[in-house]
Amino acid sequence: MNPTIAAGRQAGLATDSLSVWLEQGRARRPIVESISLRVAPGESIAIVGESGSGKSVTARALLGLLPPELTSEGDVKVAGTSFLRLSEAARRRLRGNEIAFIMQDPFTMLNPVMKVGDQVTAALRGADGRKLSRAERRAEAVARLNEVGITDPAVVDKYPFQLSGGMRQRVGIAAAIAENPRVLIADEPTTALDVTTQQEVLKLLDRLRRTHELGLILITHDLRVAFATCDRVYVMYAGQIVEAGQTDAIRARPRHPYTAALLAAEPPLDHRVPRLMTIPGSVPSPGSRPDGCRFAPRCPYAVAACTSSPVSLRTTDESGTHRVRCDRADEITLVTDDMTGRPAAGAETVQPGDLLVKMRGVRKNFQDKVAVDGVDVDVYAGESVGLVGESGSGKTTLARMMVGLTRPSAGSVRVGGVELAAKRVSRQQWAMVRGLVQMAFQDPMSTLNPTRTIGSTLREGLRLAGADDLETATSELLERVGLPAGYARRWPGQLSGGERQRVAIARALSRNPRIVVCDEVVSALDVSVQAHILNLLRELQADLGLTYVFITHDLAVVRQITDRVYVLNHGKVVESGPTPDVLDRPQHDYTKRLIASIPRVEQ
Amino acid sequence: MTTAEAPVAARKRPGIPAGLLRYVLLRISASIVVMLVVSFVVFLFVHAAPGGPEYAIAGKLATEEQLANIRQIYGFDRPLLDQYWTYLGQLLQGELGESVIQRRPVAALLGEAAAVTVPLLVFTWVIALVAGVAIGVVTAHRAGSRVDRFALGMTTLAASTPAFVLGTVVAWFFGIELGWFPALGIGDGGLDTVAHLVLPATTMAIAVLAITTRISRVRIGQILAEDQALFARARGLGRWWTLRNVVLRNAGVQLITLSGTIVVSLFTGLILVERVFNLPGIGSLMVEAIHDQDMPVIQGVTLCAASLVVVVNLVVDLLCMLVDPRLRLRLESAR
Amino acid sequence: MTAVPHSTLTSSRSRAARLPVPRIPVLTTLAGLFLLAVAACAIFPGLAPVDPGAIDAAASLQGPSGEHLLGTDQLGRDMFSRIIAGARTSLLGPLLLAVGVTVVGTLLAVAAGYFGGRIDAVISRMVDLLYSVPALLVAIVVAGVTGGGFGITLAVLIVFGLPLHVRNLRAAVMERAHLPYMEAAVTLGLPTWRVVLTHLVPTIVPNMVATFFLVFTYGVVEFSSLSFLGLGSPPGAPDWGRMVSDNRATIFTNVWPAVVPAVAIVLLAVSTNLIGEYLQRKHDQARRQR
Repeated sequence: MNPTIAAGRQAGLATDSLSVWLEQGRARRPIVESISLRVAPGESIAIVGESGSGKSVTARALLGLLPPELTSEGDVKVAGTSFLRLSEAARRRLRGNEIAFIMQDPFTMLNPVMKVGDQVTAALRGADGRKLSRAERRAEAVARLNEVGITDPAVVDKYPFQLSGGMRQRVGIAAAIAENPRVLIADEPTTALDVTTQQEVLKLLDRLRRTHELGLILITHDLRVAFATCDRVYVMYAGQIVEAGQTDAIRARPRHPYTAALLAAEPPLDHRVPRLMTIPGSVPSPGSRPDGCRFAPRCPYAVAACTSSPVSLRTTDESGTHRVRCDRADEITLVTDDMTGRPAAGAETVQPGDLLVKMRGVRKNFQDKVAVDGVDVDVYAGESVGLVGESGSGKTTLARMMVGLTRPSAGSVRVGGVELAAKRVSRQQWAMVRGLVQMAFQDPMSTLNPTRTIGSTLREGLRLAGADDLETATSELLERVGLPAGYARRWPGQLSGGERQRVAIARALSRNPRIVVCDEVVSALDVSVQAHILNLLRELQADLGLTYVFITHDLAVVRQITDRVYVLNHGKVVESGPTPDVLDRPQHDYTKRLIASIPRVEQ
Repeated sequence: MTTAEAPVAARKRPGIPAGLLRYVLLRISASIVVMLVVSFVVFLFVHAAPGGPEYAIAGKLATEEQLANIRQIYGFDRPLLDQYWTYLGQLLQGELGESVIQRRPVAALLGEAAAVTVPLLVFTWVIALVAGVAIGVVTAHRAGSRVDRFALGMTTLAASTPAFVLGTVVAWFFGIELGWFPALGIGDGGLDTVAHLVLPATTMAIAVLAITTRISRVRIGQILAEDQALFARARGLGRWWTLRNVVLRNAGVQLITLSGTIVVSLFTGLILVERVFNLPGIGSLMVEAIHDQDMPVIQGVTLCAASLVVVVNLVVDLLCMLVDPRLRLRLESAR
Repeated sequence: MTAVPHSTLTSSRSRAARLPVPRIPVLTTLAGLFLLAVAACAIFPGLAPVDPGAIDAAASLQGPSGEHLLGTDQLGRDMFSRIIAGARTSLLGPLLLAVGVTVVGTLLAVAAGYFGGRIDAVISRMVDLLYSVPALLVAIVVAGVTGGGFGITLAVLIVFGLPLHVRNLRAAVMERAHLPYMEAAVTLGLPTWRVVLTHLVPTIVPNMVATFFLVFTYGVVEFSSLSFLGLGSPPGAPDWGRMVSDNRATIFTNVWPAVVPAVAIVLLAVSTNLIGEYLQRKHDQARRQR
């Protein structure tokens, strides 16, 4: 083999001023700028950033697999050779062999029409370079799957669509590392998975790192995941690394205001804070990045000097491992969690009002699948109720039945006294229900009709609610959710994800409802944006006396926004009670497992 | 969503699973039902003809005596269903009636015409399919390049050109201006006939190539843009491996459907092209029969075309089932 | 479950999936002008400089000249005037076909895709059944059996042209039927017809436009093919397809009378195709900017 690898000194991966440009005709925009990072075999590093930071582009640049309109500059050293300067054929030999890659979505990464075993062993050759026999391939496949914790040999003959998401991700990992590469780049490998599965996959990656002497590059938007899994962390913002260092050092004392703000925006799991820390504004797009410090316009510590000239990455400690891209790093004291230990006043106990929603023995079948299996739920006026569970728990189906989007197969759903499970619900009754309960949805991209302006979307509900002066009412609604009145003339495509979710909430409010059902409204948003929306929802509740039904998989969010919670698993309520009780003293095994699976910032 | 589906019971015993077998039998019987319905409609042709069934059989110039005679032979005074049963019985014995004009069995006429049409059909089918997929692969790999845009422009042009226009242009340019190949007729057998078939085949191949190229370009482009293609590249798997195992396997269902679709559109196109090049194929037989109101021949050709469509669809459906495990396993796991 | 969008990558990934757009505005402009000219001829057949039926045996089979811009046919009729006179029939069939398929197709697609259930089952079965039946072939058979006629031919082409487009439009409807903004419109309390008309239909307008132009293009091909086979307009009529057929016999002596109408047919089909693509491209751009 290559002597440099044998020497071991240069094994792994290192980049030197890696930049990525977007070529648009004659225009050339930087997407990623001068990234320098390294990972040794057996070491794990994380690249953390929100959407728009350039972290996924970086991953593909490392592999030399950028889409045609993106070009890279700088160097990536793989096993001591300048990877990006090699011919495509030479690079292909190193891919899979020296560096491997797994992707975010296990449902699309694997070939749906090829058996799992064939996919895992596709790249394998015998010691003399010949093709493996059928029996050898099978044996290899069983062994490789065993390594990633799939012990059932029958899986070899299955197709990906017969496996669960977690299993597929394991198969993907087995396929990626089949040739025993030295570096594995994992691009959001657990984002599409449930928390319990997520933790298993992270543990697996950590184990493989040790057993296979694998250098792990974990790309993630989730600081908790990064801290829980990796030795070192690179924080990216707007195409640059803004902070890099040992996990412990950054966790103990982040030096960049952005890192600190990200940490603070993360809702804590173990206590409720009166107000989540937020970052004003949004991540600048590649064309509109500011000249000086990229973060300056959103930074509470920024001074005039910050915006004048580019800031370089510099060392902040004696050992030289902790680097930060902030000129004021030594002058400022960052606040990461100013609310620690102070429980939110008054929010914990709510005087129960009228019973608005009463569900009894509710069932819902989709063909032969049971989505909801005999559930009782009560919602009282003025409280905030959480429906928590992983995918397939039936929480969304339950919520949809509350607003009359899905008809229950059996049981009783009474909303404001109207039986929605009845054979016939009169027009007047529907009108009553629609005025009482409204819904906000998960996906910010499709929550607004792309063919209508924000204003026309909002006026629709206002008109139904019988508002007199639509113009004024629209402006008021927008201001209510923290958007300028001028947004009424905008199109959904001109808004960021967080802004769209605000409009979606405004639309729900346009009918003046008493209950708002929020279906995963923050789960597709970056953590800093999520904090904005959670704060907004709490303000609205306080000001308007709203009742919330909050559907989420995220227990930290549950802690922040709900008073009572129902934990759902496979269509059944396994546990319910006041939120602090359930989260602090879980009784059911499933709840315990759910809580234990959450990666923690603190360790 | 993420829960594993119940594992398909590991069968050691070879053979076709019950669910799959049931589907195949169901699909075949559905085809038979469709053919029965078609045969009934075709049977009704004589009754729908202008002037009534007697004229349809005897031709426009028949005398009153002949008409009465025909009424009697064919039993047009009997109940309709009765007549249909008789007709169906004859069909099942391969009895397609006799041409009013040529006074020869329709089956014989069809056989002679098929000798021209079928080789043309098979040849152009293979060419259009292979070349179309090849161009689709090349252009999809160079998405947005000059080659891609040129190929796309050509498919647009070809799709907008009726086969008879293309045929006329091809006949004039290669047949008359350049004089490379004979532009009209079928020739006198052997190599001469082959030479006569070159231009019609070229015409059809170009026309259908537009369809095959465009559809394979679109589908292959989709697959190349999928995560699985990137994942394969990131694993260092070669271009050929990806082409074979990712692109062609995933496009399998679409390509099979496509190959079925073009058989049918080739058949339609050949009706026109045979007219342009004066070839005595099934298309010409049909068009002449229409002009002569030769109803038995129209019926025969229609049944022929309908059988082609039904059989092609049956084969396509069964092949799709074979190449796509998602379709197959859903049936296998069904009891 | 969080879906973190990485916009730079997703937009570039779809590049292979999207067809390239021929970006030649000149061609689009020419296509538009040609369509306008054909439309003008169809509305005012009087634009023809000479009587398209006037026979002049002395001027048989002339090439293009100042007097006869596009030459004459075997009977000495002015090809230019005959092309103008044929514009109406050549445009009318495809136009009615495209309108018919788009309107009926959208109705069926919305019924099947939005309301689902039994309506969907019935419509989808019909579509499956008719899907692979070639419309042109059926039109030929029907014309042969019944003696033809514009109305019957149009009806056959619409019915057998529908399945593909019902299927496509239904897919587009189903893609949107349960998107959050549609469900939000329902929960807001809008009546169903308002949800369909003001939320669903506007979002599938691009699909309808695509259908319209595609069907129009095929309509040009199908109607002219029928005319060529002598199953459309009567012999001697100034129909483009018919003219190719009638003048085919003389291509050995003079190719013009056969080629001119053939080119007119292709130009009409290509032009609508180009305009359709142009509109789609504009829509894509507008959507990206919004």
